[in-house]
Amino acid sequence: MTSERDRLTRRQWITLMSAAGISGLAGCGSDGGDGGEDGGSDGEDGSGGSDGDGGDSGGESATFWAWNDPGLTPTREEQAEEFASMHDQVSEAGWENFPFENYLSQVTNSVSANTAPDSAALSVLWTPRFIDQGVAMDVEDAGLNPDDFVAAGRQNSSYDGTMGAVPWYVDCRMLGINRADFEEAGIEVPDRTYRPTWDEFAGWIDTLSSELDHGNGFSLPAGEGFDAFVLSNGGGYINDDATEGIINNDAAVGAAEFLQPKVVDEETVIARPTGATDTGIDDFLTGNAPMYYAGSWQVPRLQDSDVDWQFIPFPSGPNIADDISHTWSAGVFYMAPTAGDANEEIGQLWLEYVASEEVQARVTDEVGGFPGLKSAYETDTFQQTLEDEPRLETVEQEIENTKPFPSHPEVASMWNSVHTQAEALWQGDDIQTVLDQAAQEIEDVL
Amino acid sequence: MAQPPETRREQITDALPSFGIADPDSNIAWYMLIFPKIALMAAVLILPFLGSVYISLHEWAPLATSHPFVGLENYARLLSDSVFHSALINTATYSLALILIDVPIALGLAILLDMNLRGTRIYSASIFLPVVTSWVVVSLIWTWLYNPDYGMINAFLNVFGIAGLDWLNSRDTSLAAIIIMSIWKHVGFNMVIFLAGLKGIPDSYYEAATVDGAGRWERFRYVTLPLLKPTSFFVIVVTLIFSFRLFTQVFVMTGGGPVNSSISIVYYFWQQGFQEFNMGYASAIAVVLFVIVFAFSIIQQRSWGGDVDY
Repeated sequence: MTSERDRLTRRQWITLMSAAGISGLAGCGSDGGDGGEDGGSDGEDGSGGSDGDGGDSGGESATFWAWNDPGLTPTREEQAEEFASMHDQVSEAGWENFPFENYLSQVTNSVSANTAPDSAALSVLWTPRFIDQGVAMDVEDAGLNPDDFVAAGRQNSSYDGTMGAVPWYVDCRMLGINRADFEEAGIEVPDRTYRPTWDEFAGWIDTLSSELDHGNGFSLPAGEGFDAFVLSNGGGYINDDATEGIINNDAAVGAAEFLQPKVVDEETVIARPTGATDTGIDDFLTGNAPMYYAGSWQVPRLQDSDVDWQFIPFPSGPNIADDISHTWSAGVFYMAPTAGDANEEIGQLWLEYVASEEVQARVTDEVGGFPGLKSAYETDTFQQTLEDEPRLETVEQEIENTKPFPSHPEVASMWNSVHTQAEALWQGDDIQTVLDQAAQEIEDVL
Repeated sequence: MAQPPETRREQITDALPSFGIADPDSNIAWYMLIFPKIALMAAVLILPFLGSVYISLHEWAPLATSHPFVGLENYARLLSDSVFHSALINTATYSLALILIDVPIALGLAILLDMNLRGTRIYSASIFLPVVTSWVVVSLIWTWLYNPDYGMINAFLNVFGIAGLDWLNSRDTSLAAIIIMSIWKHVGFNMVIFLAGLKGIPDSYYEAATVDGAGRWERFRYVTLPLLKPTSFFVIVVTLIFSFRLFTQVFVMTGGGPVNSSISIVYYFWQQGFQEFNMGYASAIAVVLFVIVFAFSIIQQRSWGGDVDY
């Protein structure tokens, strides 16, 4: 039986609940902080991979690094297991994952601190920097032939004539459209390979935003979305001999003039800045936008959704020949460090493994990217994947039309400059002034 | 009966181990006491700072095999770097906002809590709760609160017929949004300091003022404020130093954007050092940041700090 004295008073309840709340929040904070610290310490420990004593079988322990990507992690772990089982000299293989924001500095620091992993995943923006610094193994030294890889994948992993990384997969950008929304708005759903002109695309935006409750017709990332319209209008970041920034030329100005009124005045296009809580695919999947700037790697997420989706090619601008448009080719690339006390033998074996036809042929089914290796496209495994998901037909067509990023060690700086200035476009700033500034910032790093 | 201080001191001195030093007042004893602190300071503060100054005079990339000496070039570049200028202005605005808004609010809250009204403990715990919460957690929560489509702040404004703002995605409001959140989070810290200062003011001063016919405002103006001067000095200096370290909120909530409208000096330092790997330039930014904060602290100390005793 509970006596009156045993009961907690209101004040005690409040104190107790406050203490629990404070503890919980402080705990959350500690977790967050620890996460970062763990990343750092794990990074230092990562050297254990290359310096490992080996396991029971007497082989070396292999350590690979990547940035956190929950969609890729299960496949990576399976690959590590398979890789270790294939090589007697590798007793075990494992992954260290780091937050994306700190990943580049982790890899860079590991090389200078002699704690480098045996292989590291790289973004297309980082590959030229490591090749330029002479710390990435030339894939030809690993017995691989650069000509075996698709053009954009090869160029994105090369700098100054050296291919310093292997593309695990390559990707492209397209329009993701909600077929049900198109039908509801009275627009005929286009064929999966049909490429709209800008005028046609603008008409869709107007109709979708006026006929549907969304109030808008298209969602794109503020920076990269702008890039795609520039590329699809015949523009780019720099000229062919990498001496001049051309992000302020007619093609880019045309792209900005096309998009800016829709974002700023009509508000029929959503431009999501970097770091926003919602991205284009969030807008699309939550029914907030009937069209979005889509990436081929998003297929698994789209397949898991209830949205009646499909891809179509990116709209073609007036400055470019009909029936063509371009978007960036990116993907995930693997480098084997030749410095930082990494085990080069294991690194070489890993590059060979990633570049193998078996691994490349499975990549579309496993993670939604497309193979970096040309011959993988002819395999039964890959063809079966296309048969199982016919909506990949657009990707298959558009992967040929992708553009590699500028092959320059400072490409990440260029990317930041253009995307920062693109945000100014969506704030309503003068187009030519903004793009001149971006071009100037690019030329400062050339 | 109480012993004279000299006798007590001798007793304590005799009781303490001498460590072989005959006279505890000797210079050696003083140096031995101060040495660990100096050594620690040198290891974690002074040497790294000198290292930063050295690196700032070089073109320094982490993987480069050579680091050419460039003299003051990195500092000269800061003068014409528009992003650095934005970072400087944003940080100064943030700092000023905290000093002009956060500090008075904290003082007001401390005075209210010092009145020992009903529920004071609950109020003080509520106000202090954000202080003990992680900046990352708070920043993430406020990012959602500021969401233009389904954030609670716009929903609240809509109740009163006020159109919602695109808080973090607009150049006009991004820094203000960070300032509002930071004041909410930080005001409890300053409040506690002020509260401690208020508790330290002897009641006899107020009693004397009341006898002299001073009303509530006069007591605040002529007793509380002057006697809180040391506390206020501490609060302002600490707030100033804290505000110039603005990073986490920017990192989590805006990434410095849009169009560098919320970029801070420390964020730009991080971007240059650990994203772009311009370590020499990043070090120059760090040195300039140190000089700014140090200069402000000295100026405050000279103009105010010498007159804080009572």
